[in-house]
Amino acid sequence: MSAPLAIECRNVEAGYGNRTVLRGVDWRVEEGSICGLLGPNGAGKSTLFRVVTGLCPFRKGEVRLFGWPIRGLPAKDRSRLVGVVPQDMAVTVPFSVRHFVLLGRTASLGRWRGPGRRDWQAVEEALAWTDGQDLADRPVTELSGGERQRVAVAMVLAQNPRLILLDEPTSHLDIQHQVELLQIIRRINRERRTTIVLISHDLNLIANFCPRVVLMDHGRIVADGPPTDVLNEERLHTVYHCAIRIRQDPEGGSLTLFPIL
Amino acid sequence: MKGRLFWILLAVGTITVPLLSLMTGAAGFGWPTGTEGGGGRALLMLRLDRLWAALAMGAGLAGAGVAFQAMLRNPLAEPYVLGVSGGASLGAAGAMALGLLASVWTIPLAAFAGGALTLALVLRLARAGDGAPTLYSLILSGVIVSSICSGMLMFLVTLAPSERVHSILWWMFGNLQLPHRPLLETGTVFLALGLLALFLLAPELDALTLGRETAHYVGVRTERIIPMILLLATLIAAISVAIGGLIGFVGLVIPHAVRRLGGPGHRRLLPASALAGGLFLALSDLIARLILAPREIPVGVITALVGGPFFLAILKRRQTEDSE
Repeated sequence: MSAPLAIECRNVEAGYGNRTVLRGVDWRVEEGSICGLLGPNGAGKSTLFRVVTGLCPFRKGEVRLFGWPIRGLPAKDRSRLVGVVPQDMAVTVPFSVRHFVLLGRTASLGRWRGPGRRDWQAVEEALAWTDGQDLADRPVTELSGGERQRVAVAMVLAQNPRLILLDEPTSHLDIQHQVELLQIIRRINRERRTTIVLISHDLNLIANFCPRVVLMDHGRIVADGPPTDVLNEERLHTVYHCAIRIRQDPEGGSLTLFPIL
Repeated sequence: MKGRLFWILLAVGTITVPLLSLMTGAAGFGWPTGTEGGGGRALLMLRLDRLWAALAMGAGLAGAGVAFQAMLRNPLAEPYVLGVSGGASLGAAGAMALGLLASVWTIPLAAFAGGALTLALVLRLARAGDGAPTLYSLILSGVIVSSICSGMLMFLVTLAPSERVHSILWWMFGNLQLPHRPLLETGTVFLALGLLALFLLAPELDALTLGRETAHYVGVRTERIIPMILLLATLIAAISVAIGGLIGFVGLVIPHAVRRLGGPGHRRLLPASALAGGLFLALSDLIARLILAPREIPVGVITALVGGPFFLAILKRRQTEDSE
């Protein structure tokens, strides 16, 4: 018997208006794993995220989170199963970082009593996990890109879902902050047994961070497996329409990918 | 530090503004005394009603402003700028022109219907493609629809029987003098209920400032909550208009000031804005009574003189932020 499934998509078709984006996606993610989602712009990665979180309705197929059909799942229950770190959270209101992280607890706040001791405790823990205690009293609008991403992760930790989806979590970060954030995400996966799925355009990041890679193109999954199987020069050429060279480090076995200009 | 000063200021205002308001009027300054057989008592009752109307209406306008700003993620959104007040006053004046003042229900209901229709129209006009309306398209649509409403209001005035013209004009100016007592009573109950409902939705209001998508992820049923909050805010604004007519910018100035000084969390922002909005309107009404005493000017003149520059300052700041 295999590990229970965090995500189970069967033959999912979805789109916006008349435009079909996902054309029959079969995808399973085992609980406690890390999975990378890769593919050119418009391949359907973000739409797949939106389907899995119940934000985008689907026309055909079946989507389950931890065995629960996503259709008809109450918002509160859903927020305990899946949380998202969006690509670029536009924060316009100067909440303090502490209050911002508390927003992850929205579904469990008491209407009359307001945030209780357990809510604030969850906030402090989430800040500790992301090394954000020093930021707690600063307005979230004044943080740097790296700090803001860490705080966004803290918010999803305060929500404490069993599955966390991250959409391009490192796209605006320099290399130091990328490494910092990825280490936090890996620790969350190992120590809290949280399932992680992340979208990225960074081939090297996905190749070295995710034990499993799913490659999408034109609304379908075209390859699925460990990076060394999925990422080969021929396949990347058909998907990205450009020449990409792959080198394997003889010692660690890690992959390096670079386009030929 | 800044925070504490604000709460002290609010507490001081809560005591002094109502007192001043009761002591000031065309009859001069001082506590109304019964020199001519109960005249003082009657005067006091008049001033009490007037204070009551100002507090209720200011609370409603500011509360609606808080909700609109969070929901539309637009710092300039408020009932007057969005055209909701204009639509509500058109509805209320329409009901009055038809001579429906008899029931306390018809005017607020007509105001609510007018406000809700206007908001739906403005949101529809402002939406570009499938995205959310931008800051400018929303304001522009609101202003245009608002001026259409005031055009139709003028048309109503010319058609209305002469004995009703005065009371309709009264609406257009915005006036807290001689509020209709039964209307004030019913209106206050609904305002209080509406503000309470918004207060209980404070977690959702907080989350929705991050946008519909993020709010969905943290467990807000956006497809239900957003229309619910928009309708509540419209209801509150419409009742405020039914009480005192067209008074602008209270819903803009107050939420901004309170957010700045007391923090952006809606659990505090909403009740503090309601209180501050009431006091602000009572104070504006006081100034309107004093500035050309013994004559009065419409209170809307005072709020526009404060709110207009305020609006432009926020707009200017947003433009510089956008161009950076």
